[in-house]
Amino acid sequence: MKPAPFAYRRPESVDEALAALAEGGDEARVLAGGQSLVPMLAFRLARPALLVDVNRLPLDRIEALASGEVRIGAVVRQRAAERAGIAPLGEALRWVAHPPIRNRGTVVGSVCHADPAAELSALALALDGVLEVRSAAGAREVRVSDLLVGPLMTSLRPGELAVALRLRTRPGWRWRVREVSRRQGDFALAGVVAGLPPDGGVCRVAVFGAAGRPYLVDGPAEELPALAAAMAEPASDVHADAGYRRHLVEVLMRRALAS
Amino acid sequence: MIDVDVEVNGRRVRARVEPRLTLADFIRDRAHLTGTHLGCEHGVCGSCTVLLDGEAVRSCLLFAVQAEGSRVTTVEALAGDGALHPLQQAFHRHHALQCGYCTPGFLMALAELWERRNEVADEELIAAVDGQLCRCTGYAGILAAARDAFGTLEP
Repeated sequence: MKPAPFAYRRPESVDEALAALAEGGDEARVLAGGQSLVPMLAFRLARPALLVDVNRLPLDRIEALASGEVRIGAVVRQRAAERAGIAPLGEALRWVAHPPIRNRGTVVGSVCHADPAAELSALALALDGVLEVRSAAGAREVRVSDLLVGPLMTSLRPGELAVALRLRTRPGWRWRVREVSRRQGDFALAGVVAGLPPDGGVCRVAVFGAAGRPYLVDGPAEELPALAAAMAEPASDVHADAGYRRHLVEVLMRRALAS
Repeated sequence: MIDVDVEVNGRRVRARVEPRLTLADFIRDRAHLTGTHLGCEHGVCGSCTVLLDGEAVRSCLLFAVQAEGSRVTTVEALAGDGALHPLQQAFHRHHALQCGYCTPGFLMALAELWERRNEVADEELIAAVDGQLCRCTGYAGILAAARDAFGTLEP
């Protein structure tokens, strides 16, 4: 399984990358960590004419902003984010694949890949994520809730590059991630990111692996498990049927909120 | 075609390659180091794990052009001076390999941790091997070897 031929650019600046992406149009793809894209190339599920490698762009910083948000640059590795001392990120990342994958995979890339079972997409949704997007035509911001359209589908347009993701970590909140997968590191059959407020009032949870995209539920802890399960639209496949996945959502939610 | 210049096990390897050539194929076919094995070629099995600038990576999920200017370490470097590396000796002692196909990947996933071996927690050893697929030896011997080499083995 070898990828089909493609042209390759390795820009050193964001402007250079945007120019290459504009030129490539909808035949161009951004190559960041490549831990999802390269397997798709190997299977020839994706056959872009041009890969724009953003790994050498100066977008590798995690910053705490005055707004209270955390800003994660486009090429911050999952491994670096895991060690940055940001509690909810560390909690979610330990479920993501394996160390050699996290050494290369990026946080922003995982969110933009939009796998419905990805922990990081659900986390970004729960933490009011906003994606900073640039293109040759200008800049815009996209809320993660508007970004994730469906399985592997986002509202990003050809020529656009996500340069950073901002997350609101809600001081004082406790975040729990729970999931069930067939093997450690596999994509989850279903999972939840649960946020518990310091006052024990309205909780916030994001559910993943149980619909075409992760979804949010806010409410008091005792109502959330049933509510979240009712909102699930799980798929049936060889790994688990829809009923089992819906059941997992309720059980995982109860466990996350009780812990 | 693009020129690449990569340091592999301390040796400079230069080649003119297609962008789609994976780092794994570069290591095997251009650097002629066949200790790095290809199992699945889509990042699942871990057999092709090497160190890139000291970090364990799947070499099938990187293109050779991306390693331009980087330092790659493969399983051949472990026993550089002829004597087996302590990790390899531990694998030998604990029968941590049967067919051996996955072994280079296991060794390199663990080799990432070797520099700070005195402070590696047992959970890190488990995390290092749980991303590597072995289909014949079983993980008990592999984990015992890792724990022995890193000194976290229960007496």
